[in-house]
Amino acid sequence: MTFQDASAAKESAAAPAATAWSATELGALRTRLMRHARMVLADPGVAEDLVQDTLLGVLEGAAQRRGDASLVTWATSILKHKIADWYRAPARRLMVQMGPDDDELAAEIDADFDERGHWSRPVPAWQQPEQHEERRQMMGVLEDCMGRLPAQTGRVFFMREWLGFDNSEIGLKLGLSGENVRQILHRARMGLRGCMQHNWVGGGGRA
Amino acid sequence: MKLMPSCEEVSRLLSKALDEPLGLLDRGILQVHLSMCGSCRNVDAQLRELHGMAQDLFAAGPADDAHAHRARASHRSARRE
Repeated sequence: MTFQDASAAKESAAAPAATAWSATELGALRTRLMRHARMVLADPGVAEDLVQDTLLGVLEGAAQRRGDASLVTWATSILKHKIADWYRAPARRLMVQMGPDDDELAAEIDADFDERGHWSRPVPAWQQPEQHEERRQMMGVLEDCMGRLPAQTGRVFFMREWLGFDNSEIGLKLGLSGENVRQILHRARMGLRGCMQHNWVGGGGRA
Repeated sequence: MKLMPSCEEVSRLLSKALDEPLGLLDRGILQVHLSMCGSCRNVDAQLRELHGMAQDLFAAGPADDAHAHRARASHRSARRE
């Protein structure tokens, strides 16, 4: 049963909402939230705390919840605000240090270009996924690709694309120059593009 | 930025454009290059699509069957082999 199903079932039934979530469902939700939190937070303890907080909020709020957002959507949005608040605490200043995997990705992207800065090989167009199901599969592959971004590159990318921080705010919080942030985001996006090219377009997703 | 940028420089501009409004000159340079370069036009479309999909993914929650694809998606570095 998906959370969406669970949520629909709960809303149509008159049963008390607080008991509607099974341990398995909450476990799956927790796993998912942790995956997101760990992408954007370097400290596993902080990720753990904020996810725990989020789950408590979800359990408390479930009875009053209105609207048709799925449980996952709702919980993810709570978590996002908690993480953004954590980063925005005035004293919060972290230093990121690029790891070997970040350099490896940079080298891979360099290899996309020849010595004159032209594409090493022509970049084919992607066909638009036509059906809902196809797009959903594509999103699944993208999620995997995001999960495989190098840690620091992924952190910056998630702060930008998930938390919605702008480049200067990211730079301020992570001790990076604006040019650094731009460079890392470029690397992240080109890395995702290459990963999608390989695993979606070239991997059998689109014949 | 040179008036005749390389594709690599163009890819940096395309990424930058997702984060901040580009100046008039950058936009002009980009427009001219894209009009002549199919690969960069494709990359432009792809980066925008990924940006949009990432927004949807975070806003709408999971692709339920993400794990079904985990097995299929081989390691990134394999793509150069």
